[in-house]
Amino acid sequence: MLRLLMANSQQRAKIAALRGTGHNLEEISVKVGLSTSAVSYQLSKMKEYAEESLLGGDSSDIMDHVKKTFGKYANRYEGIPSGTKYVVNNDGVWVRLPLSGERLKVENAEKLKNSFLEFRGPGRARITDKGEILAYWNSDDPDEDIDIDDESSDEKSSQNWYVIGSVNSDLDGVFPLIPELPNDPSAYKPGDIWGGPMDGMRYSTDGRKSIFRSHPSHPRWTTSRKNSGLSKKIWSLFMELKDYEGGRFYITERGAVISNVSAENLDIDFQDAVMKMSSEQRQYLSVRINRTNLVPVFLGTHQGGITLQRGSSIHDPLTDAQLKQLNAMFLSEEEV
Amino acid sequence: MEAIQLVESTFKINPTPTLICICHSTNQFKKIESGSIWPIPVRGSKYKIRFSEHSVIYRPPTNEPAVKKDPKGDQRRIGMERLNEFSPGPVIEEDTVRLIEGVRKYGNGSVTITPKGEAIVWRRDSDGWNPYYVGIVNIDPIWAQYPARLGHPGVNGLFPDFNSSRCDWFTPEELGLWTGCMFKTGEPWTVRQRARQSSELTWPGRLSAALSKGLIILGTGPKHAELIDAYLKVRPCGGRLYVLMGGHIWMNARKQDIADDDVWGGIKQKMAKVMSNLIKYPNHPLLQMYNSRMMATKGDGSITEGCMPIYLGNCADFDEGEVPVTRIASGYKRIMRDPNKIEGSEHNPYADRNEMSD
Repeated sequence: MLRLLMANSQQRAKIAALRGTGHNLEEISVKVGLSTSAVSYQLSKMKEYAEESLLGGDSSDIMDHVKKTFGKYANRYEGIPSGTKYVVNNDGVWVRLPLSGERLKVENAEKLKNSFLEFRGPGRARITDKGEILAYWNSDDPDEDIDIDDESSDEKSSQNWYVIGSVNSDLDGVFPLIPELPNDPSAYKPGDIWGGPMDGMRYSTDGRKSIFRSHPSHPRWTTSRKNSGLSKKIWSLFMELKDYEGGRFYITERGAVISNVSAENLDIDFQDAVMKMSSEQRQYLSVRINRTNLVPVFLGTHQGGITLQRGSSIHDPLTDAQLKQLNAMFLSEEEV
Repeated sequence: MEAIQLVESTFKINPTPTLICICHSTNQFKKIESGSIWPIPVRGSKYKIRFSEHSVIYRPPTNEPAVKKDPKGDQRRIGMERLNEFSPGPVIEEDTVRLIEGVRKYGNGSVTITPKGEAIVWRRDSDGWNPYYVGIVNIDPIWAQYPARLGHPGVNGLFPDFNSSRCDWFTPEELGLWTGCMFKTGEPWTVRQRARQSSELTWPGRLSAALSKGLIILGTGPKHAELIDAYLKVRPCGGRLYVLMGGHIWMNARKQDIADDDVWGGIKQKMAKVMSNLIKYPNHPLLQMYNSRMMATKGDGSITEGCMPIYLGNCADFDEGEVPVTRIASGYKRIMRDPNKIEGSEHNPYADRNEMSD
């Protein structure tokens, strides 16, 4: 009986999907890793729950019920995932410091923890600049936990990401907070050293017309600067601090636009600025300067994120017809 | 096939002076020191320095290339940016970053490397952009970054490189498929019809269009009869070729341009050999690049009407090893002053999609 009660939310979603696509009990049992009786029991419980939901008015119809209960597992993230990274486990939500590896407890994160654990168990969440909460999930291996930055040539690392909620609808609009690394953009003015986590939705630009995100196993996702919604003020400051060459910038879930720039381009009393920092902030700064000789800087606030579109790529898979055409011109008449 | 363990070379620029001819009419040479203005046209291959967290690995057992996250994280690398894709080359030595910063203030950005290995960067001065000589590079960032392959064309990132040397297709055969970057790589030259008589290579571009834009078209002087002859045997109508550091030359040719059946027979045989290997890996980066190249140059016709990238050989094989150099007359005045361009090439050598219509 204990075994019967063990089906988690991921397994229930998978059972529903498999049943809905015509799989029988034995097939579902193999694919989900539960006994046939456990699957059967789970299906009857799911039916009961659906009937209650419909009778009680929680769902308008069966499709609405399915969307509400299992929808997260079908809501795959479109694009190259990115965003501020948080580690979620049963003890809470954390960020990891780069030098010491020490974990800092994230506050205001109880709902994030519950929502994430319910979806996949412990792992790493990402929150985008649009406030979407992302989680990695491989339906064939629910325990697998890969981050987008872990194994970037593996397509899985960028493709198995799901939107499991949003800051507005699932966290009541409350943003995660790290007291040692203040991430509220209203506390900064453009050109200040950024004292929050150097993380967020990552974008790149060549300094000309396009803003994009790239990944080795993906075509580039891109938009024009004009359509990005990014203010001229932020763009001008970014370009000035980046020597008009472009580069990377990040947008946090709170809308802070930040970038790493050469220290020489900043009109800042560094000694004074560092003195005012917490040891955690100094660690972030120190790692960045040691590795790249660059300083994280706050550029301004941009709400709503940037919408990118998939571009065509030299890496787009070739079709059989294309391969045949490419090869055909070098074949002899007998070989064609 | 085992993966070969080779140590990746780092890229550096030695601030040694170089001797260049500043007036061919009077045979006047000048020693250029590191940090001095480059007094002649800025021509060569465009590379870019930027941070990249990716490098290229070769997966056994086939050793075919793949771009992978570098376990060392973000590193400043020099590579190529073509068609909106950055191909990460070797890591740059810190001294070299400081050297470049000393010349133009910042480290990241474009670097032009001539066929002789001279590195040139641009700086914005009070009178506009000016080119400065930095020094001599230790290796071509793309073509010879691994010691075991020095002197042989091979590429990385989007393109194949070191461990791929065990792949059959790696080293291009003369008049076989060019296995390097097929988009605007190398110093561009045009072989014109009149070159049969003049033995001279000229800068690309139409003279009338150049004049109307205030551009100039210069040439090499009559020094390349053998190279031109070899080119015109393949493509009698003339066209463009590119010379890379180390003297490697590649060219374009459409199948219908190749009038000589024997020449086509040879090219076809060599192309077929490489293709038969690549076709086993439908998403091989070289195959994808070749497809992009053919699509970009086919016009309204079928893909078979695209311009094939062909390896012509090395400068050492022609005209007593003479590497093409622009002939400068006295009174040369720089007209193009744009860090994103090279002189004698109409389009931005960094790839936006427009360059595909080359």
